[in-house]
Amino acid sequence: MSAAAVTDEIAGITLRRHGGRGWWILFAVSLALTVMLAVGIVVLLVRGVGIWGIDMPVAWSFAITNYVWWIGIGMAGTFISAALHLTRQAWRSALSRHAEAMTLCALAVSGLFPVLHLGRPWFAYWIMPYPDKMGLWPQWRSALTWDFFAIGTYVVVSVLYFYVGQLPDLAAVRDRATTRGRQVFYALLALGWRGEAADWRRHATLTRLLAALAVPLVFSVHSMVALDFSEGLLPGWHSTIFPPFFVAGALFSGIAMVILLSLSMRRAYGLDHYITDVHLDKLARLMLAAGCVVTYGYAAEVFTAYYGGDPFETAVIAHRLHGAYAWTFWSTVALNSVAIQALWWPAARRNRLVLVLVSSGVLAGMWLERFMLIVTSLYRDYLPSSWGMFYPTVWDIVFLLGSIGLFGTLFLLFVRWLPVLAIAELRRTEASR
Amino acid sequence: MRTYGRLIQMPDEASLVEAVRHLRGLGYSRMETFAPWSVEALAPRRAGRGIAPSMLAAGLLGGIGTMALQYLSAHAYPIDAGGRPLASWPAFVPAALEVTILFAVIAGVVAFFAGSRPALYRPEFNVEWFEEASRDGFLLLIHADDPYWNEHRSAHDAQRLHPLRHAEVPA
Repeated sequence: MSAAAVTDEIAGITLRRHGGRGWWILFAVSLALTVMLAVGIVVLLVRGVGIWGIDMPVAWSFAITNYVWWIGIGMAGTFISAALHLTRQAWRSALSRHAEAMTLCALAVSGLFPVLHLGRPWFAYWIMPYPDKMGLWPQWRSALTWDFFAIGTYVVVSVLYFYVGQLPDLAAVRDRATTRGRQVFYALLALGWRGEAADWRRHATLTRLLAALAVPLVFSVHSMVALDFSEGLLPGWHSTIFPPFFVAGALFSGIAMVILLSLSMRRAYGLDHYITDVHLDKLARLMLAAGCVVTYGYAAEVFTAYYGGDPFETAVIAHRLHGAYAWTFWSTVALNSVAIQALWWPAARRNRLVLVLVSSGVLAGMWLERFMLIVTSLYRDYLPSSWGMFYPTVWDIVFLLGSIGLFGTLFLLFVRWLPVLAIAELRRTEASR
Repeated sequence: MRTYGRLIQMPDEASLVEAVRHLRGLGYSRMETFAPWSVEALAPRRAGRGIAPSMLAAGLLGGIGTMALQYLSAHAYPIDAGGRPLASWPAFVPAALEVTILFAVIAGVVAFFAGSRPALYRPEFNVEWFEEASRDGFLLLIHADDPYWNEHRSAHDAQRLHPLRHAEVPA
């Protein structure tokens, strides 16, 4: 395939007037769910977090589960794009753009939850350091403040990395646009990119340096999310394995989402010659590797609890394994540890149906894992007098489904308005073959 | 009509590099090249040099600044939580680390755009086939403000490169 054909095909997908019937149906469903989320947010602002099933002792539940789940899904995008860029893995070119877009969409969804969970979300800006006449400063030792810095930085860096990376592609779309409106729209985004030799070198320097900073950033952000828990003294949370365990879990669920999105885009736009079975195979291997680390994490948690002999730790683990929410633990193990073992077989890694089933299972499994980690530590802590159950309300379900709708809406808008694959990188790869 | 320069399209990467070398030999010095991907031999060596130092400086400023801000506010507005020390530096690292990366990235992007001087309009966009640069075209622009520029001679020099096509760029 020639460099010209790559450019024409991918820019053509962006410039096509109609997204197709499938796009509209998905968009309508996602938009409906997003509207439902918006209604949920309005009700939450009016009536408070009491509309959720949270109460003492289980004061964290669906909202924090959704937050951790979505931010984890976002991790794989930056990882695939940045870490594989630094290690010069050329195969990432076919995946990097939609993986980065997935990160942005997942982050946008994720960032909503800690704010909504505050109780008085309109005071969210109090966790920022700013000079005010009340002399109010954030509590720097609070994980909530760390979250603000981590998520804020992650959002800004991801947006910049995503945007800078696609400047040449936006220029390619601009040059191919036929209507005035589109020419102006893409010209504004491309900021006059011409493919000048010095610009290419500057661009390569910047993207390499951004990738070099993005990799430690994603690891720090997910470690920060883990510190939200391990900083607390609750049995089941207060664990040093949490940061690497959360990072592996984030990568695990993120890759599952990348696989699902890659398969969908491949089918919708006939991109089989870019996103090939080899790409899916590599993603499946990565997912299997991350899954093995996650499984190690489950085993280590149980082992250290019993080996350490702390009665509260062992009690929490016992509750996880046999208590009221034991079904979440065993479903997690089945979906995240057992089901992925199929991926040891090359035939399974190249079978679309298997990949869809395993990846969907991993996404569900990771949500259940976050829920299990949060709720099973909270519902049985040190004092039996403060034990209690958590039952989700309809609003919990509304926020979960609504978040999926918002993610879908944002991703579908990306597919419709921006180049779905990294044109410039693929052009280079194709030409050098 | 004033002239901005002359745009020349060469058939491939190697011939573009050769054309630039040839024109430099003739005495031209104000040239730009456009390609669908990075052509290492054509990029000026100093391009992109300012990016890394500005990122380092901004990153250090962000990290040290955030650490200082946290110490300052912990002492100026003390919050006694369970008798813990006010300036507990391990707890100050997370925010400082994130701001280090944030400042470095923003500085890098600013330095990049400062160097590449974004503009929505450039005279060469008026040549219809300039869009080939974002497809598979290898283009060369001789600026009319080149000391060696002469409208007729430059057209003749361009022709002698055996280009795919060449055209005058109106200012």
